[in-house]
Amino acid sequence: MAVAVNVPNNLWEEDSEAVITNWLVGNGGAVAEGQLIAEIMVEKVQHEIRSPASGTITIGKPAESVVSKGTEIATIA
Amino acid sequence: MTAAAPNLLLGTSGAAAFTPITFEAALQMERNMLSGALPPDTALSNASQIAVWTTHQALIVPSGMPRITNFDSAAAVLAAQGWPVLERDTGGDLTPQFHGMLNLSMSFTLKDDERNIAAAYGRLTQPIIAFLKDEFAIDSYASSIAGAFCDGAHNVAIDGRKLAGTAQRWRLMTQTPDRPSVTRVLGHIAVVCSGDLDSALDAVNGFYRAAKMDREVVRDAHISLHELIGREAAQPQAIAQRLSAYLAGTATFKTSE
Repeated sequence: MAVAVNVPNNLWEEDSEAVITNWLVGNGGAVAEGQLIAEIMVEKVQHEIRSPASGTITIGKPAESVVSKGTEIATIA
Repeated sequence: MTAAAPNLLLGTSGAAAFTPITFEAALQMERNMLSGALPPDTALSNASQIAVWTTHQALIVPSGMPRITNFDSAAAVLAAQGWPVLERDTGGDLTPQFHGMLNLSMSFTLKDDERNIAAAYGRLTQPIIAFLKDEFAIDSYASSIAGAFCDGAHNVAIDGRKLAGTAQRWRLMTQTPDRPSVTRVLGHIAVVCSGDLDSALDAVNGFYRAAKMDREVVRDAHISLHELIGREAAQPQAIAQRLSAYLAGTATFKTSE
């Protein structure tokens, strides 16, 4: 069963939207649980997104996408 | 892990001579601060860890910017003009570094109920605002400045002109059954003290032109300490020493972790 990679709801307090600045893994690549896989930026704060599971990643939101807290940005199977 | 040496790490003894460090060393130092690899600050126990440093002339871009069209060719043009383009870990936009720019890197921890971005920026800007007021009777405030490099809502501004810029990187530390999650923060504030600001802004605009980006920074949107307190007093080393003494003697940074 695929595991969703969501923007954590507790990354920051405000309701501001963020932009995916960088995917650090390629679509279809292997990732390990806890691995830094993406960076998202809000108000010049670069936040780290880590993989919640090990497996193969399918990126759902490409770099430059605008995302909110809770947005699903990838899945890992 | 061996930490790269900053010019000054507040709370440690025997600070190195104040000479520019390479940007690569500064980046490694900031990464160590974010990961907590540097030794705990002694003078500011349970408080922020702060490094004060300068580096060599360069244009510094945030992660992800090298993906833009024409980045490589623009970087090559500016490198040939003496402005290598290097990548940093914090957010924001293109920022010049030069010998008149003084940098403060700060790491601290936010608890579950403290993840307010504006408040975190306040931990960077308020000490500088207080320092300027107490030491030089200069009134400053946090504000966006149109036309300034790497503009954002949390610049330190004086009379509508940008003196310092800020950026951060946050790392959410995973929650465990017996410990709530916390966020490690690396904050960075760059203060224009002295030096050739005009050339630095020319380099920023040169990059935008070479990359065919429809953007421009303007000189009138910026101010340096040199213009306010004179060249000698505004030298980065002089400001670093005065600021370090000020911060070490104030409770501004003393916050719980």
